[in-house]
Amino acid sequence: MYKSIITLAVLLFIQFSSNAFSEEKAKIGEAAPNFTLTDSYRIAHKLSDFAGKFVVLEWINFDCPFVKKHYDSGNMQKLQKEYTKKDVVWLSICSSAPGKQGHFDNAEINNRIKEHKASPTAYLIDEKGEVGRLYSAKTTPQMFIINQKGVLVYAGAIDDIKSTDISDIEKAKNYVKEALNSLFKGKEINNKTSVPYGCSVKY
Amino acid sequence: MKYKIIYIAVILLISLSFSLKSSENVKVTAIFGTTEVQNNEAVSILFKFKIKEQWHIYWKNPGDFGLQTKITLSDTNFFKIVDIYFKTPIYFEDEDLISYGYSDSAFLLVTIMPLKPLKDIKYDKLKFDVSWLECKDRCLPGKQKIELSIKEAKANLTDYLKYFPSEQSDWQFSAELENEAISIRIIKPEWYKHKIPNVEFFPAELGYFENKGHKFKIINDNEALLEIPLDIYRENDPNEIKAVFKFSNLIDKDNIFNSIEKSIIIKK
Repeated sequence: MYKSIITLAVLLFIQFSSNAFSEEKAKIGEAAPNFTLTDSYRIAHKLSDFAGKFVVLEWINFDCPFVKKHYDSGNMQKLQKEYTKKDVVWLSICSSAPGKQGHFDNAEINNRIKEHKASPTAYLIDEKGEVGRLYSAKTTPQMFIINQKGVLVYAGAIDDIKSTDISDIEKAKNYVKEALNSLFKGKEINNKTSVPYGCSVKY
Repeated sequence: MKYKIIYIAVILLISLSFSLKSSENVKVTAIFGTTEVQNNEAVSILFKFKIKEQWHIYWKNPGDFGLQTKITLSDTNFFKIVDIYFKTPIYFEDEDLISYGYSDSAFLLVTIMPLKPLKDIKYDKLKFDVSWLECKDRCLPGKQKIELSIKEAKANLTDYLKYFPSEQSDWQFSAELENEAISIRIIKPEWYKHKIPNVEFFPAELGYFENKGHKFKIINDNEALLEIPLDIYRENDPNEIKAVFKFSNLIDKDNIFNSIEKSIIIKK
């Protein structure tokens, strides 16, 4: 009897700690919290499936003027193309709730991806906002980079000019490009965080 | 070929009219605070934003989302902008995110200085570029060019001072950093014979604080306290807090302010 109580207590403790771990919010320099989300083709993707690769998480809302700035200019697609070619996993995540701006059905998402000639590894749907909140995503766009060891190494803005103006892209310092290039060279990232700018994530 | 040229012209015309289309939700007007410019003297210009119902624009720190409202001189050869003062903001909540800005109306007070002796410059007409982000359930970038003549009109700026934060210092502010959070304490001055009013916190800088709970807790008749967690993605810990503290129902002896702008050194 005594033994079973101890076993039960140990099991409860393990259960509690594993839950607490999975609900732990993302932090720079720590293991990126795992998640599973379905893409616009109804395929489930688990972050841990990409272990050993660099992963970019891009919070997206196609109707936000800040996101439009980076898609209408081709800037985001250029980054996606350049780095997915180098085996980087690029996950665009939409945390817009149903009925809110940026939430679309799968057909519309796939149309928009095609229209914009975007090439993320997957466009993931987070309509409950659970993954958005896990990563404390506040704006669209907002960018996160996870290294090959599964550690979150960058969180913040795509670049350093807060605007909706396409002509600013050329003048801006692109933090994502800078961080990925440093990672490929095995160097420390200069700016591990920056203040994101954009529309609110439509939770 | 002829049709191709017409087609291109139509497309150009459409895109030009689109880019020139002004905002339907925000209208900006501006007025000088003086009818005369003096050598080496600053001149104030009041910019008034009329905002359509249900829409809002943003403060100098937009908060979790949005974009700062900006004013720049189109021609920087003769004058420079020295300061831009923003009307005390209100806050907007979107689920668990907070932003700061204005609905209905906003005022920005811009101070400019002549860069050269007045005899050497043209200042009959001054041109400004004003830009903002206007949001309701969606956001749109807004722009307007403002041209104003110094001799045309004069605003009585003192009528507007009550809308801007005061820098007066007899209210005591202190801040302390402990356990990934900052506590800010406000103590009322002796002359203020009433109970300390409700106070709201508007950080002037981005990236240091989680925008959660910005209403001060009244500790006793004299003191109010606010604890705010630091942003988990901050680049470093702040050494000071620059913020606007907004009082509601303040019974002010001169009735000239409802908010205070302050920099507070943080004790660690």
